[in-house]
Amino acid sequence: MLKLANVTKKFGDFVAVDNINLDIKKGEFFGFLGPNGAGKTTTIKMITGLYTPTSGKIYVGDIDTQKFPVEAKMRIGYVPDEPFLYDKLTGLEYLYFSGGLYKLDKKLLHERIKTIIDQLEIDNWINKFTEEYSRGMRQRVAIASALLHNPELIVIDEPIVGLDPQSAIIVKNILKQKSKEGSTIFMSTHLLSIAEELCDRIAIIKDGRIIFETNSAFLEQLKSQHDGKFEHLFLQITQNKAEDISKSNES
Amino acid sequence: MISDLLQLLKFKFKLSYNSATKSIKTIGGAFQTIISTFIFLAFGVGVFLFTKTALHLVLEQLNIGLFLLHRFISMILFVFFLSINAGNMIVAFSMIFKSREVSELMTKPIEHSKLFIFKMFESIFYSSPVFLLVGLGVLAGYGTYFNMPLFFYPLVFLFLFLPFVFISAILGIIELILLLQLARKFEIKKIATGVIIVYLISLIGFFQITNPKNLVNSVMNYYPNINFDFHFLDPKLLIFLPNHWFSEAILLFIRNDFNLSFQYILMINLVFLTIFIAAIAVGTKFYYSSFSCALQLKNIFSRHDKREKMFRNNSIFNFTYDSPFEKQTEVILKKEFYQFFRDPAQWIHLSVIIFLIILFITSIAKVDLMATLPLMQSATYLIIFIFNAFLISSITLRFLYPIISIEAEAFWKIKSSPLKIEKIIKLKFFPSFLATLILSEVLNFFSHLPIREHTILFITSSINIIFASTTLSAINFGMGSYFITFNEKNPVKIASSQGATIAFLINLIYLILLVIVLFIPINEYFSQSIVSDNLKIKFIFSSLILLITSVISLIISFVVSKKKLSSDF
Repeated sequence: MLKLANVTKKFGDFVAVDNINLDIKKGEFFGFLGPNGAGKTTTIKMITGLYTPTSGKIYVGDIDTQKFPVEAKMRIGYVPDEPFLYDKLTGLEYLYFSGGLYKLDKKLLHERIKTIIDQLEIDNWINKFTEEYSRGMRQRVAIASALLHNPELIVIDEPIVGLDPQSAIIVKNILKQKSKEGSTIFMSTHLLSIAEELCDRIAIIKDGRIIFETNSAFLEQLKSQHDGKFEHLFLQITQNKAEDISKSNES
Repeated sequence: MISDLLQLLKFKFKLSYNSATKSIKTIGGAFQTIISTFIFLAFGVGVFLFTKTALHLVLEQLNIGLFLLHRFISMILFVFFLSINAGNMIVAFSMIFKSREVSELMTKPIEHSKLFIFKMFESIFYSSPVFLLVGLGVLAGYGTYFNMPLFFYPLVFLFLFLPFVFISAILGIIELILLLQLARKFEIKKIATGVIIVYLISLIGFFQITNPKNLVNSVMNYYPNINFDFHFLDPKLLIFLPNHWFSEAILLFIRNDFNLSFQYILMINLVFLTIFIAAIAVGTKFYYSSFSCALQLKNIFSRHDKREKMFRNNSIFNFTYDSPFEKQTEVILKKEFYQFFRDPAQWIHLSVIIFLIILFITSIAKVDLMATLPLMQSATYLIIFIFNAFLISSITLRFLYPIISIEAEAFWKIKSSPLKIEKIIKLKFFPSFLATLILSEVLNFFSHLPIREHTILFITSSINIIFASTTLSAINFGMGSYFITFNEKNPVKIASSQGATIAFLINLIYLILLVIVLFIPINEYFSQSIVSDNLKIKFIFSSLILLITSVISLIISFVVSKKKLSSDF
């Protein structure tokens, strides 16, 4: 569903993402982990068309995102790490605005908005201007707007950061549900517990390179070799010992 | 107190220094800086040359005399005074009360009075860089025309021009604080309407009292002795106005009456000091309460607006209404509409501009173009046409320049959605351009009412104004895209940024081009009794030049916008 082939992104001399390759299957819940400044958000911005890769190709399904950006974006639902909304629109208006961008039929849009408002429990303040929203409220409206067109690929950047426990549970539940329904999810996070709980497969990026990639079954095995804690494993991987772990994993 | 202020200034200076050095580190940035500097310099030189030529024309060709010249300068200074005053009220509202920086500094252990003084100076310098450049150019042109001694320039600049600008700007800030205090008791819209009415009355009242037409006739009665001292013709009210002190000081300087000239200079500086001290007193006492009031205004505007309810209930504007437009077009247009009319900074400015246009339209009906010499007729006609273009330039600079930048960080939604960049550009540009076009045709129609029998002038100007508004819209839209910033969502601040200043200068260069292109056919038209084929060709040729300019501007503008919007967000 999502393929990154030799993707590199440079900002001047600085290499933010260095020749990464990923192949994510349809229906997979993929966790993209890494320390701050590792290149997670840059990768996501390239997938969603906010950045142009310096080199390499990105495919959504079989669509080249650079050659056919409109067609590719039609299949993606994106939630950024900082969900800035239009201050002078109400949450409801913002949802109609988002639906319109994806050319949804008005009747269908009414129905979907009703459903998503219930699912995300945002009906109490959906008619207020978004400038009055807390971060959690904005995050939930941004998620709602990304799901309206029923995207095949959901790209979500740090979905839980800054949310209160209630909002976090709601967001996790909706992501689980979307995954069950067959949507492919590409989630960036540095909250290891979230990745553990939700993802079928994870990759760890550091200094722009993917240094580790495994599925949830292997992850359990590896954890058992590290006091059963993902934190310890993660620290070891990101402290340049990824190769050792991979070798021990292979053996 | 001084050390805290210096600390704030040092911090601000460091920020400006960092952003300036960062911008010249790349080849593109350095090129942009060189081009900007060149445009600024070219504009300054242009103003200098224009001033000298204009003085030569009015004193040696039209022979209006020193007294009338300085009365006209006084009138221009009055309009200048009101513009700075009103402009600074709007800029100060966003910089002193509504900026993120102020909200942050309010939480720090800084006295409110110091913060107020710091932000007051910042807002004055922020709102007046173009005025400063124009002032310097005019001063240089004026001084060299009259062969003034070297000390004249720093004297006038430091002790007349700057205090004059500061009086106007600081008064604007005092008025704003008092209005915010009033807003705690009265409805803000009534206060805003009251302010607009007061400004209009001041402007109309000033021109009624000074009555330029009567003044010219009275002076011309003494022709050829037009350089006499005609102070007895001055209305009594004038002696209370800083614009009069300014023009009198330089007139007396030219006449070598230094004693009296220095008295006016002293007066303007004393008034400046008094107003400055008054501003500090008012700020110290009322700044925090006005800040709190400004915060509450946001809620008043967003919640209790009857007009807003009308928009929401009216199905045409409602997002749930299915319009005949294609879906992406529909939602973008509705979003633009709401973003504009729900932002007080937008609709208050628009209301002021509409008031000014109505004032202009009503005044223009009284212009007697046919009663004068051909050269004067051409000059008057061109001045009116250029003023129309200048209004369009100001409107497009204010509303089209920031139209993409005001998307701010929320632009991720559009940029990541399945919408072509070309479509975003079209949907951003054309609705505003259409409104500008209608406005420019309305202006053109009313400015031709007094001379409606001159059909050829009306037809050609109706066509030329389309090209002019296309070019001006394209320049301001393109420059807004070129200097795009998603970090600032306040349209007033975006429209008074460095990029906007450069855009404004390019607008003025275009206005000069308009004069050059249109002068020959118009002057020939007023000089000849019949419209010859040769003259028709000249009219067509001038329109053709304007058409080509508008097409080129539009293409460049769209190419620049596409490149900028396609780049990384």
